[in-house]
Amino acid sequence: MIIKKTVVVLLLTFLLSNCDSSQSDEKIDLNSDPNKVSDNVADSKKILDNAKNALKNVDAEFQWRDTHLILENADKAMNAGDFKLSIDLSNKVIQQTVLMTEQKQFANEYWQDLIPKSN
Amino acid sequence: MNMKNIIKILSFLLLINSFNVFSQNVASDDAQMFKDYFSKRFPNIEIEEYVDGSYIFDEDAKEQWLEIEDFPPYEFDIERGQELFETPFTNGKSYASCFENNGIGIKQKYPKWNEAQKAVITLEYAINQCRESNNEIPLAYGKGDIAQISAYMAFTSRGNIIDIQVSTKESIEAYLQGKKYYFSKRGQLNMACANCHVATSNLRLRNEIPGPMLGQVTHWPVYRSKWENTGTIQRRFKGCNTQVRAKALEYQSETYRNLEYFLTYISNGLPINGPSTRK
Repeated sequence: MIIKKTVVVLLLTFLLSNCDSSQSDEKIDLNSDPNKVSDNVADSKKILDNAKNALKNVDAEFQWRDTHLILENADKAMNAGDFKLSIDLSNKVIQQTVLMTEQKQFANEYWQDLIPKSN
Repeated sequence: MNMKNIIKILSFLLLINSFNVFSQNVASDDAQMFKDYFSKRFPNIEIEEYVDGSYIFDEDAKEQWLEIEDFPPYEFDIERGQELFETPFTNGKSYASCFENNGIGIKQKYPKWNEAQKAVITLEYAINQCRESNNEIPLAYGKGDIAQISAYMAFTSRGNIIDIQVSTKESIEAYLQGKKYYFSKRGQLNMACANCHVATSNLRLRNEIPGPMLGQVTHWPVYRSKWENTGTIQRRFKGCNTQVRAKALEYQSETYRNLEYFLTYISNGLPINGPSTRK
């Protein structure tokens, strides 16, 4: 059971760390469709806020090193009008916070398993 | 006072006493258990040798390290630390006024549980508390002046046997929080401190052999070649967190102080041999 959970966490970690976070080519043309632009701004901002809240709610002891950098990039992307990239990065942050929370739960349950047995 | 009341009071006192005994046993059982673990795993290494960290597993590296220790790069830090330690504050007092035995030869008693503050107080934390109580600005943690003062205080404590007390309900809680932190997996690499310093001690992680948990605290502050200066143990905690891709905590956060408390207690009985050098 412990091995299974560890393998799942490691796999998810590996997959997320290899997610493509390169710049999206699909920038919104701010002059083309005002409704579409405002929808994207609203979506992007909403997801970004969700990501910020999700990270804020994770115990500091279990936060990951680079997640706040991804969040900063999501913020920058939104300000630059690259809403798709901002949404992608925000979602990546949210996914990572889910893993952090699972990691904390796992630690709470199984931390003593790493203590060597006395005999 | 009737007999019933006397029995009640006696029962209460017995309960408190039994808790204290239990608390002390939890921690001392741990300390003995880890010593037994390392003794069984490495029967040719004496417990006292663990103060030399990972060098006990690598003869060549130990030889080179001992040569460095002949003319150690932290020597200037000890001198500077002594100068800072002896320089009076603007109110005329000095660090000596804040510590037992004027701050000389006391490192083996830190971190210690402070009943009034209900907190673990590390040596560096105590140095800054001393400054603040004398209306001085606290020093930045991790390196620089605070590491140099700490290095001087460690130097005056060389050979003194680590003697950390865990004896009250709150102190045992702090100890256990430190222990839990040490054994909990964290960061994107999903690794606990124990993965490297218990399970992997004496094995190579890439080109390095991680120091074993036992004796891990005896030689701080340390001049690390990687840093090119002297730093405190909590600077290393931050480095370890970062290496497993976890977000490092603040210097002297409650968690780091509790972690240092746990780790130092485990090394009770070993001598202080800091400051020292490491790669």
